[in-house]
Amino acid sequence: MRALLLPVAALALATGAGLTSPASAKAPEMGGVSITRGGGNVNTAAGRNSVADQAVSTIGGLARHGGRAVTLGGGNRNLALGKGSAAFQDVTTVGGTAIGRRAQSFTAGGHNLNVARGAFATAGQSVTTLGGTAIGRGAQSFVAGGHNRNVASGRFSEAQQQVLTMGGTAMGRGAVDKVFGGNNQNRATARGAFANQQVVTVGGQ
Amino acid sequence: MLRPMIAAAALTLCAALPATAQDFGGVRLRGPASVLDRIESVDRTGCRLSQTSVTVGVNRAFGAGSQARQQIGSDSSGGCRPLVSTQVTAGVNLALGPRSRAEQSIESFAPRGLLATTNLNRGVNIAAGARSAAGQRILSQTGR
Repeated sequence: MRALLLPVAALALATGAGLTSPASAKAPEMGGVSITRGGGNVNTAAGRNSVADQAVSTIGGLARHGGRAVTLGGGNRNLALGKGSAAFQDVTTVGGTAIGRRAQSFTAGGHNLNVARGAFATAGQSVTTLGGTAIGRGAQSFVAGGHNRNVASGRFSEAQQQVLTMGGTAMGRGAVDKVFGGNNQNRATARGAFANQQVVTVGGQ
Repeated sequence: MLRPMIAAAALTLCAALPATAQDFGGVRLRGPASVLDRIESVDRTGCRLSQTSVTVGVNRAFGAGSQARQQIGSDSSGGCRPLVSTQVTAGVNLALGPRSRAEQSIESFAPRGLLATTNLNRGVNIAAGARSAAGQRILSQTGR
């Protein structure tokens, strides 16, 4: 019994200073936040011989004091569904700059879909994502531009997709720069269909 | 006998150690006083602590051979920088009638927030009628 009580008492004495210290919360560890979201757009040409054209540009953002700049330009859909229809989509996303110790710049431009489903339909998609700059000790720049799909499923249809992802700049002691642009799909499934896909990912400035 | 002693030791430890919490987000500040100073400085300038700008455009061409054109410009900067700035820009452009034509252009600008800036834009562009045409442009910007 005494053998058990003594260690407990010693432990309580060792941490006795904590009894008098008030409860405290640490100061915020991270800096400002800048979120730029330009993706998730839909462009559809559904009618016979119809034409749909869409251009979306998003420019932002700056996060200081070791903060985080998030730029999301992907998740876009371009669909040519009608017979003889044409759909063209141009998405440009430029961002973000994060400055300070352990600053993070995250840029995502992938997960895009380009489909020519109608007979003799044409679908063209161009997605350009430029980002991000992270400056400071232990700064991180992360760019993802992959997971894109290009499908020509209508008879004698044509689907063309160009995805360009450029990033990033990470400056400072222990800075890290990562770029991912893989896992893309290109398919022509119908008679006389033509699918063309170009994916370029450039990083590590 | 051993279990009560372990429980007593655990209770002693819980009472002895100070409570701590980890906060995430916000500007790195030295203490609560500086947080108040930052908020008061925004108050003194007459600017809002939080500013939200929402720009939504809907453009439709229904009739056969009809044309619809829409241009929207939004600038909510006003020389002020709030603590938190949020901007939402959305556009819907529909060419539904046969041989119809719909064009939409949206431009918006919002200031950068001192603590946080959120910018969201979304567009839907559909040409559903036979021989219809739909064109859409969306530009959303935040201050540097």
